[in-house]
Amino acid sequence: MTKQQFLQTLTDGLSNLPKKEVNDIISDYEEHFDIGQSQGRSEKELVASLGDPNQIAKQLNANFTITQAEKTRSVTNITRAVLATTGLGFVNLFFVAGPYAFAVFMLVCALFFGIGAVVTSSFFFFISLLSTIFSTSVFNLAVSGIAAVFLSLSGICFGVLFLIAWFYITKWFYILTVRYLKFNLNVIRGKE
Amino acid sequence: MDTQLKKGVLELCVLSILNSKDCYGYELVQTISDSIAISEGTIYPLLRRLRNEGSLETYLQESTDGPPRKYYRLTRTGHQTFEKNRLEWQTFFQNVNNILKGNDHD
Repeated sequence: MTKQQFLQTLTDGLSNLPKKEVNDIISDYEEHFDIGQSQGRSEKELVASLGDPNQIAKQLNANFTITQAEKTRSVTNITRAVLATTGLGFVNLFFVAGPYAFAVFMLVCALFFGIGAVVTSSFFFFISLLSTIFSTSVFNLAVSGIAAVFLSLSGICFGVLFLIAWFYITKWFYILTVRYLKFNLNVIRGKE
Repeated sequence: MDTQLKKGVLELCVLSILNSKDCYGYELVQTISDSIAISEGTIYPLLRRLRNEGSLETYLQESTDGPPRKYYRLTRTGHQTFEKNRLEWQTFFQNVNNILKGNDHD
């Protein structure tokens, strides 16, 4: 592979990055070639010791998408970051995707369990309301009415609390995901 | 040496070299690859990341032969990160060595 081919492959692999960033990266490698050649090393030799440009591009992509996900919180950004980090190789697929899929699974389970609980309790509450309406005692009706008011109030309170908690859980989960991806960058880098 | 282990300490090596003096990319890459066999191209993404995280900053400096070179230097955060990581590494290294020594006595 020539220097031109190396730089071209690298550029092609960085098509998702801003042009300014790509130019900056390419100029780093051009400087590397210039200095290396001025010290008597051949182009071929330098290309060989730099390693696979595709692998370098993957690493740069992972770095970039994680930084983006950190700057702006969005589902798209975090998905890109996870995909780019998993793209680093099979080992990363195992390290990142495995625990990550498990965490997502747990979150989804928690959500369904929560919804299930709310639906079930609402159902029983409805039944108990029906039974009070059809009961004959006026006194019972009054007591149950008051109970119903308080019950629904507490229901609203818990609902709001649940929403707030859910908001924080999602936020923490996002931050943890980013941290976890960065940790992966530290542990596994490139290849030899 | 195991590749994953090696990759993990690259960051520490970069910080350590830059802690003693400012370097341009090629110089840094050569210093590391003299001691550790690596794909030299992977140092540049690492440098870029450390700069984004605020551990490093760059400046251009004229050279006697050829165009100006991009130099890297540690920021204050970078110095702190290095000290912290060095301590962690030394403790870890010592603990592993102690375990290995235990094996020698058997």
